Formats: sequence, structure tokens, C-alpha cells
Amino acid sequence: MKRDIANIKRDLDNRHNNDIIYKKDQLMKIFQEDPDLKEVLGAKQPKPLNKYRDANNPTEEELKKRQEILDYNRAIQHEQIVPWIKLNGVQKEVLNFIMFDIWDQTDRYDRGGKAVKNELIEVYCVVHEDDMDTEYGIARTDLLSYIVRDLLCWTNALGRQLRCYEDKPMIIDAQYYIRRMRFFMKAPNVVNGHMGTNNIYDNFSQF
Amino acid sequence: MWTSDYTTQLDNITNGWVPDTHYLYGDEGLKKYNLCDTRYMAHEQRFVMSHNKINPKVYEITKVVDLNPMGVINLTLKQDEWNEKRDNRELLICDYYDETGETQIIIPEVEPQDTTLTSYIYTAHVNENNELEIDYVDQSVRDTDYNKLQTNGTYYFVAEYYTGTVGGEQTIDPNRKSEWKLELKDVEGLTDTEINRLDRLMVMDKIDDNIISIHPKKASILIGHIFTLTVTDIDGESRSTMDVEVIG
Repeated sequence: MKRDIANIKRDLDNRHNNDIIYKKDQLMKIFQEDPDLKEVLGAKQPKPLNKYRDANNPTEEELKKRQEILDYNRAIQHEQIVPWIKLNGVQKEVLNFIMFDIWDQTDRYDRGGKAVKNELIEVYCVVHEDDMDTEYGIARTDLLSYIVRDLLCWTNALGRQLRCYEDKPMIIDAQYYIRRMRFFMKAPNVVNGHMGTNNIYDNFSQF
Repeated sequence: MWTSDYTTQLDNITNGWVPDTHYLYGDEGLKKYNLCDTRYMAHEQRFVMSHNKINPKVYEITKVVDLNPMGVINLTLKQDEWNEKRDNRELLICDYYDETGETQIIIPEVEPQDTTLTSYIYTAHVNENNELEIDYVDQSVRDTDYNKLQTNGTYYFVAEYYTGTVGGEQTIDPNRKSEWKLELKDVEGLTDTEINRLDRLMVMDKIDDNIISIHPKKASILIGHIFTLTVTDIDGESRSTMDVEVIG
């Protein structure tokens, strides 16, 4: 069999082409749209700009102050919800993160692993040791894991029902406390796919 | 028997008497003529402590120690010499005349007008250009209406300072710096732990010298409580308060 390389058409922008890309995108939306998660992640709020007394002729002092505020607002804009499990250097401005990834596995009871796979979703609530305490009197990792479980556990957020089977406290990088949550679901198999391909036609999941 | 270089008379003073020079001269007079201010007991202040016009006894403060408990002050006095040039024997006031000893200070007939510093707290909002804009409202509105805050919201407060004379025109003073404080007002019936918990849930962030943001956290126990926001000029010259209520 010869491959017709010239005619391989992949629409890289279409997230439905791949199960993992699509589900990570969905998870990202779920996490980003939750205001409480954002709140507990402890993102610093951007400062409002100073108002010029004369809008057309700002003084030098006003311009300097405006620049300081803009610099500060830029510095605090780090992504806190990331779809991979890796600490990208120790941040000064942003201390806490939600990290997640998806782990696909063939199901041992599905002979040949052709139709069903096990899908494991790992979510890490990463909190810097300096920022463990919250105003609510609850440890930040616990509060984050509660919200994540509330969003995912026993829901059909990704089609099939998700079940949390592990919520484990851990320490990483000497400065970060984390809670690692693992969710499990059975999903239609697109790891191997039919005939070794992995394209839009093989993805017969419910969404 | 008290003996010193200055006097050999029996010093049987049982109570002190300090004339109120501030009442006589006012702030400006004291500053203008470099006179003592008997309202404040400070170092090197001289005053007559006896009611003896023939041989008035003058004392000078050399040390002021604030003691614990509050309200007890330990003053150390040194006996001083009567200064014929500057002191007034009739009125028993030290440093009544100026340095030449000739010009008697004329008490101005007009009440001295003190310069005053007034501070106001205004709420502010972020406008469509993402700029902070102050909501100028009347004092009466600020006094009667609580500022209503929602949990999980962000609210901005700005302090403005005005200097001017009493009853005169007031001009804005942009160089003042503020110290802010937010504390629970309705503390009755609450334990210390509860008050502490409520205070912690109101997060105050300093944005600028005179601008803060208040962020009531998302907690239902905050609802219905009133907090007092106090701003004090960093020099302690002016103080202003505002009540804020968490309503939902």
C-alpha cells in the first residue's frame, strides 16, 4: 500500500479530529469558565488605570504612573490553568496552578482493545507554600480540589460519567504542595482507532 | 529647705498653675512671636508654677516620659530663672514679651483662623476606558447611604484631602498619603474568632497612596454585616470614615 502523501489533508485547527485534544479543550473551558476556581487560584487583580486630569494633555507624572500600572498588569498575566503537567519555572507573580492531562489506556478486558479504552484524567492543584492559607480558613489545595471534583466528579462533562478515584496530597519541587486527582472514564477507543488511523471518521464518541 | 543657685526660699508649692497661652495668642501668634505653647508640655518649656508675684518661681521641663498605663506622664522639671525681659510679672506668664523685651505682644482681636485639613472618602468605578473614575457625591448622601457591597466583587475607594481655612475656600492637596483600616462595626454578640474571620474575609488591597480596593470574599456569613472604613492622613492630621455593608 502506498501512501498518497500529497493528498493527506489534516485540518490542524479542527479539535474534533483527536479525542485528547478535544477533551483537553473541553476541560480548559470548564475550568476557565468557573469564577470560583479563578478566585481560589488567587490571581492578582489588574489595577485600573489612573485617569488623566486633562485627557488630551496628560502630565509627565500621570504618564509615568500609567506606565507603572500597565507594567504591573502585564506582569501578573500568567496562565494559571495549563493543559500539561509541568512547572514552567518558579513564578514570582503567579503562585498557584491547575494542571491537567489525559492518559489513554487500552482496557485489558476489551480483547484487543478495539472498541473501548480507559481514559484517565489527571488534575494537579499546585499551590506555592507561601500561599497555602486562604481567607476562608481552608487550605488552598483542599479548596481547589473540592472545586475541581465538584466540576468533574460524577458528571458527564466529557460524555461518559467521570469518577474520581484518587485525590492524593503530594509535595513537588520543594516549594509546592499539590493535590493530584485522578478521574476515570470508559471511552470509545480512538487510541488505536480502526485500521490504525486516527481521524474524524473514527471518532464515534457521543459529542 | 530647697536650695539652688536661683532661690533660697521655701518652695511649698502644692499645685501647679499653667496659663493657657494658646488661648491668648492662637496658633499663629505662638509661631510668630516664638512663644511657648502651654497646651503641649514639651522640652524646654518654661512656666510659672507659683502664684507669687513678688518672687515667681519658674520651672522648665527637661524630660517627658510617657508611662504605662496610658494617661500617666512623668515630667522632670528644672527650676529656671525669672527673665525680666520676656516674662510678665503681672500675668505670671513666661515668655510673654519677645526677645527685645520691649514690644508687648498685642493679642489680635480677630480669632486666629486655623488652617484645616479635611479628608473625604469617595467610591470609584472603572469606566469604559479601564480608568478609575471617582464618584463625587454629597456628604449627606455618603452619611446616610451605606455603600452596598456584593460578595466576590471588587470595589474601589479613594481618599481626597482638602486644605483651607475654617469657613474659607478649600483646595485639594494631592501630596497626602493615607493609612486605611477596615473593621467590623456591628460586633455585638460575636466572639473574637467570628470577628477575626469576618475581618479576614474582607480583603483590602492598596492600589495607590490614596486608593484601595475592597474585595469581599465569597462567603455567606459576610452578608448583612457592616464594616467601617477609616482613612487617616499619614501624619495623623485628618480622619474620615465611611460605612460599607455587604448585602449579597
